[in-house]
Amino acid sequence: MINQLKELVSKKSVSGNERVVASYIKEQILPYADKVYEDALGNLIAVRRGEGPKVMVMAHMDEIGLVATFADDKGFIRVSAVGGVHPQKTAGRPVIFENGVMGVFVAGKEQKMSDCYIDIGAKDQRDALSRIEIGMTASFVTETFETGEKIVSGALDNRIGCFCLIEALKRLKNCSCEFYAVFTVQEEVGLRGAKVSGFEIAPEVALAVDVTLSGDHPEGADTSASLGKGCAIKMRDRSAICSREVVEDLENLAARKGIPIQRDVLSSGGTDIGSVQLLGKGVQVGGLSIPIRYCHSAIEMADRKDVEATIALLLAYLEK
Amino acid sequence: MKNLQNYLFKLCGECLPSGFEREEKSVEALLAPLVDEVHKDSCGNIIGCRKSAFGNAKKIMLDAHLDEIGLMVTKIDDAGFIHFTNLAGFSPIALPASSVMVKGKRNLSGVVATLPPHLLSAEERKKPIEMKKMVIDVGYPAETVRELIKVGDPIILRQGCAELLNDRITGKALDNRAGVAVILDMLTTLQKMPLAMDLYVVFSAGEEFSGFGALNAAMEIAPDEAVVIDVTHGESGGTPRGKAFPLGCGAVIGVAPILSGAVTDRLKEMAKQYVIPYEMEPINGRTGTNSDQIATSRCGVPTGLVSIPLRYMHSGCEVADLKDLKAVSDLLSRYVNRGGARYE
Amino acid sequence: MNKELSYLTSLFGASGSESDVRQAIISEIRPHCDSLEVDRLGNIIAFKKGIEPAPFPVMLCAHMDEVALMVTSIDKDGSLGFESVGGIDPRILPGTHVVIGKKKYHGVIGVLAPHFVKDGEEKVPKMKDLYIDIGAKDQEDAENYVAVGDLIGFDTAYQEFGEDLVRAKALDDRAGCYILLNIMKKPLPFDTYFVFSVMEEIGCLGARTAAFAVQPQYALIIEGTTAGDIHTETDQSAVCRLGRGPVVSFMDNSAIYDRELYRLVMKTAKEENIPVQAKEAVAGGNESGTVQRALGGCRVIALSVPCRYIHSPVSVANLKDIAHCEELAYALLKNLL
Repeated sequence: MINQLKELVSKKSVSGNERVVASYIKEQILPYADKVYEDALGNLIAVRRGEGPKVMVMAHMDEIGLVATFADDKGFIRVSAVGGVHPQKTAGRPVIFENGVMGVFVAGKEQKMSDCYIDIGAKDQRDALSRIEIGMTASFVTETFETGEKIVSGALDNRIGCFCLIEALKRLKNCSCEFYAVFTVQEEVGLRGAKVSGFEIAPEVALAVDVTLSGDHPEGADTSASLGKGCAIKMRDRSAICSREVVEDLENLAARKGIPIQRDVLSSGGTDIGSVQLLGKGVQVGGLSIPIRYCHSAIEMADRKDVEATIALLLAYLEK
Repeated sequence: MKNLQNYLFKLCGECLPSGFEREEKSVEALLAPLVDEVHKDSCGNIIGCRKSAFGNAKKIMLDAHLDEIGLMVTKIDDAGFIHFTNLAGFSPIALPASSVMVKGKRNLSGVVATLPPHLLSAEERKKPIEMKKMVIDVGYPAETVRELIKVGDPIILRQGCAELLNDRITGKALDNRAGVAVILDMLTTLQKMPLAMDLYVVFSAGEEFSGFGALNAAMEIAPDEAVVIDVTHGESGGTPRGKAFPLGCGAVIGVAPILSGAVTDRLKEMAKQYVIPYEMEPINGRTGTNSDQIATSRCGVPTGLVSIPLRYMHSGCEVADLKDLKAVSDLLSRYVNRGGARYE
Repeated sequence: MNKELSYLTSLFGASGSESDVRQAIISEIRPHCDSLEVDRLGNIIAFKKGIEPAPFPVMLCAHMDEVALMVTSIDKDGSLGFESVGGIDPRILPGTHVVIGKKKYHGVIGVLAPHFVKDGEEKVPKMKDLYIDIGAKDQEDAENYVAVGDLIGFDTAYQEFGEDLVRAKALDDRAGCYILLNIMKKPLPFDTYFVFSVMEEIGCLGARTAAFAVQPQYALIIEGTTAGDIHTETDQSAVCRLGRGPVVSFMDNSAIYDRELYRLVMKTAKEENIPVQAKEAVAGGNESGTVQRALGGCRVIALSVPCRYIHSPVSVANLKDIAHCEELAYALLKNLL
């Protein structure tokens, strides 16, 4: 698990610029799909044929990051956030631009995004712009390691979901549905990739495999989700209310197969199904969430048991 | 108006928070005798259809949202108190000391508990109470509560309907059961009449959350025009000028960039012609109702908005005037009966 | 004087009542297009054949509507309460001349004489405290001329001034409409759809239904965008500057633009020797996001004319930027497929 995750995390993919991780995932899943293709926005779609309803399972490939907006006279790179970047959680981290140029992310005293900049050690504006271009994205440099039962890494949101979906494709034997595995783009900037992919596929059921906030640590979220208690079945978040049928199906399957689960109620945050619920003639939606601590910092923590439970439940659902 | 009141009292007794509309049965039963066919779609909309007496008629969709504001269980603490979050539409102001119902394996009555003022500092007493500081007390020990209630279960207000003076009704969920009652009443009026249009009636899901129900229904039905029936603010102490309407003023017809001028003009024309009291409500952009979703679905749907003035919206003591409901019902039946909008 | 731009900006087209602008554009483009349709929301969807057929729909889009005000109440003394349709800063409004409704009655936004305001007690004007005076005796008199829901436009004359500058209302986005009109008159490399959309300023509503009809694979949005080049502090972004050519965005609040198209625009500008500037901020938004994510998705890029004091009665643009924006859009079309 940790090795594949390391690979996934090392492929930087700030929203809108997911090509590198997409081509890596494509390589991984090609032998396990009947068809693999990309759409106009860059969503990566793998199809497994089967008798049954059309089921779309999404995991977003993108991560939060920064984008260069201009270089000031002294050569400091001014930036905007791509997705929910919080300077207080990420200030002082090393960052890497898409062309490999490294720098440090510096926050102002008040930690307002508008005061933040990246220092790449440039002499002046001209020097800075000879090394990076306006519009280039930068992501946080991170480590990936294990400690006890826990996995620690940046961009667990949502490479861990990608990992589950890749594993499900690999392990899936008797697919009982028309299975569309979609690795979506631009989730962190407003569930954008899922919107077009959902329209094109027009599934009967759509599931998102994503992370959720846990409430089991000091100053954690006001939720009951905890690390190590199993796959968290989404009830609602700010983007979607999950369909009762899907929730019940997942809970019954888990009970039958002895897969540990918990329920996930989030009043903040959104996930790809939020877009899909607004599409077409009505799609039933649900979510399998992996609780993580320290979400959207440059270092996040998950429990491997939850990851295994999520893969197992996803497989059970696809094979039922 | 008795018909309207009967419908309203029945409808407001239902428990239908956003996302949980599929579980109800009785609204469908109220609609079924008034239309040719009725079905419930996968996202919880109830859709009824009355076919026109003529072939190739244009399709009109009338929408009133079925869902009500609600809360959702997030945690059950060791003392058995239920912690919750906003599911859709609740403001913390109207919550403290409300009676609520938690829908679990069994329905449990509870009250929204807050610390008494005696235990609060002077500073704290000046601040509004935050929703995350409130809990629900259902009076059972933690084990029993955990047995009956799960994280993710919905919570609604418990208040039933009651009559006030002058044909006024108070209760919870008048937003927007008032709209649903109006459509049912209008269908009763139209029952014996042949229709010039195919009439689709949608009691839509999820309006208080994101409007997903109306969007899905409009995509499926692909109507030629639509009228949305919802509530607007009723005048009461402190409501700003031009933003609220006196109870009893009649049907409130929306005029907004997103709304179709042809539909709006025709609604106004019908009100004038049949002497139905009405007011115009100017809205400077999107309306914040299902009309926004319906008007921009597919290649565009000419959409109108008719509202019922409602005091104390999103509380357990909403107040509406049956005369206004009657005005909207009359306006809609005339509008449908006369074949909808005229286009230049 | 640029008569066509002057005429286009002089028309009133608040979101949802764009018919004057629509009529003007239709009569201008009808001889130049192969088919033309007005959809249910009021978008113009025009199609023009090119030298080659296009393998899939390509769409150019500019919006017809402008920010405006709307009458929301008529008071006992005959003055009008109003709100904005689209984003307008109320602080710029006192003392502004306006026209109201289809009959275009003249009005002014009242302003309290400074004599009544003590030093240090100046209030920031709020929309709900402002009112329009049309000279009516009382409410009944006013209601003979005006109804709630009537739209109010800025009364600003078109004027060219300074070095290549123009001042007018509604340059956002009549400048874009003007550019589309000119491109339509040229021979096109392949079949192209031209959309003149409605209701951009209240949330890009027209673009949504237009995209549903056209189902584009490539879209080019022509906009007016905020120029902040009145700041002098060096560590603050000017976003873009007048006179430096059309503005191309890599990302704003509505969309992350297609990277290949972004690079293609930059390359085309260099090859054709047309000035171009990157939008040096992630700010604002336009119809690109809506079009990009309609249906199954579409590759999108936006070219903008830099405008100062956008969303006010007097926006200012550079005529050379407008010409260069048109050149670049046309050159891009030739390189697109």
